[in-house]
Amino acid sequence: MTIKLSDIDIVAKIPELASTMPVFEVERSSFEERKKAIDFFAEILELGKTVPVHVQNSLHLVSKRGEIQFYKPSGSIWISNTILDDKYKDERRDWNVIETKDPDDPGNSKLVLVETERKKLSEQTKELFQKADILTEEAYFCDVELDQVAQLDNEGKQIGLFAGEATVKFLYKLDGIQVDGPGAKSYAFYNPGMREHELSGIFHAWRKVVGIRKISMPGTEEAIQRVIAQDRELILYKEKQYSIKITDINLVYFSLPPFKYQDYIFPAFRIIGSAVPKDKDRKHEGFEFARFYNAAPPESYAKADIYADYLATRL
Amino acid sequence: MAKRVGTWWIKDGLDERRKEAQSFGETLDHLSSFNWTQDHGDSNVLKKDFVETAGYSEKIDMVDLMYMSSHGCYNPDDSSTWGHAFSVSDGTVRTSDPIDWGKWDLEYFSSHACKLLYHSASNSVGRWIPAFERLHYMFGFHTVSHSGKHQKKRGGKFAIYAAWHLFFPSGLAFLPSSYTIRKAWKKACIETESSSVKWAYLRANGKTSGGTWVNTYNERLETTEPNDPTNNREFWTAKGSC
Repeated sequence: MTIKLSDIDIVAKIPELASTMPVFEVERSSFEERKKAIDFFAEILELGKTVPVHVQNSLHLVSKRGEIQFYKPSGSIWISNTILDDKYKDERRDWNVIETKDPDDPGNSKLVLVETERKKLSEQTKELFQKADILTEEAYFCDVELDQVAQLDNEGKQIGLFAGEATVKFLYKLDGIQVDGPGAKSYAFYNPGMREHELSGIFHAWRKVVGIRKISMPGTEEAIQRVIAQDRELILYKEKQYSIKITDINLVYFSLPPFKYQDYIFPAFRIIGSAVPKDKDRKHEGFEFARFYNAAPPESYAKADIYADYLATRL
Repeated sequence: MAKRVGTWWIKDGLDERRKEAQSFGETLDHLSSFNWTQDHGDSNVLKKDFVETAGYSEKIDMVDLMYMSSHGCYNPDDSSTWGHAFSVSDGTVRTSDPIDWGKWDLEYFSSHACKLLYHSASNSVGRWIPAFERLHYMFGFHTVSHSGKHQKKRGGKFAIYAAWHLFFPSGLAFLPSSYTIRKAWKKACIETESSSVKWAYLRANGKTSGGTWVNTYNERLETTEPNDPTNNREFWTAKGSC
């Protein structure tokens, strides 16, 4: 059994593929290259004496107050003070906030920092990241997001909406296109402070771009047909007589998790969709799926002499 | 007695879902203080192991902590249905089912099911509160989550960060700090997900039957049985960016 585009209801706007697209050659940063950032944040976070511990693909420098994780495959770092939260009895943080509609979830509201605080935190973070030498030209300030916290009564009714820890998010673009996936984000985590807000940790995942190659791309329809046809779950649910709908398609560049080796950042589709039984009586038993797919086939990479396992297999 | 760990998974064509759940059990099983005693896949993921069933011992309550890979079930076009059910091989487990997690043992429930812990004022994640018998936490997602090759490590990452301090021999002069279990979930999700996805959890505070107050906010995974919040309870939910 196979599945074709005509078997699927596509309600999403389909992105146009150019006839050729860049593929970005990337390199991991070494521990020595990250040492400046590690020492800088370890001091701010008051981690004190650390002891090296090797676990899987990471070097952890652990202390009584927190840890530094250096992900060897990518040169990414996670540095956090893990005992700062102990002074709080729950998730609530005393930020200066306003309640607003959540643009990602129109039926929901959320708490956001007032603009002056948002600006202050973004500038504080930018300055820290620049001093640590981790902010490259591909990074851009995305937002300051507050963890959304709610207290519920015994019946489950929301009796209070509060702000939690703040995350200042820097994300990445290449050639004007979003780099998605777990390996392209630089975050700083904060608790509110009196004069300066208190940094509780950072996560920096990015591989440095060292070159650009070009690959030829298939037509958009052909590219989407190819990835859909290889999706075993969609084939399975077509056999089960489900209606399959694609609700969102984004063309992105894909960055692997920080614990994986990666030499090329490559074009991919992020697709969100749903599968619902055709039997109307069972309409509540459908599900949604979210998946990344390679936008180009292995043949396109082979023609450009570019080879890697993640360019030829499912993501 | 060692703590017991369980994993449940439905592949639905993607073997990474099996690996995601099993990596949780396998990682904890490396510790002498944990035993991975329940592992059920595909057609062996049964509703009766999650829902009160007369004359039957639900397998989910034979473990202290568990990880599950299966779909969240709802009408995608109707947000009032989001987060009310997850799939098992013989149907769905719904908030309206009789569920008493922690009746015997379970303290931590975790699942990658899309929108299982979706929360809004009008569709509160408190719909899962009736399932909290002596349960401490439910871990999951407010939004959809991805399934694929790069999420298969999520269960193992969650386990290793939650149990981080337990991998060091006791009695050392130098003992590292540990992650709270909620921070372990957040970290595992940030490492494996797109920034557009939102992690979430629901937790209970309360008194033990003996009247001792239990605050689960800064709870760490321990090898001993923790005090359970069962009386005069309050519930907290949080969500944030992966």
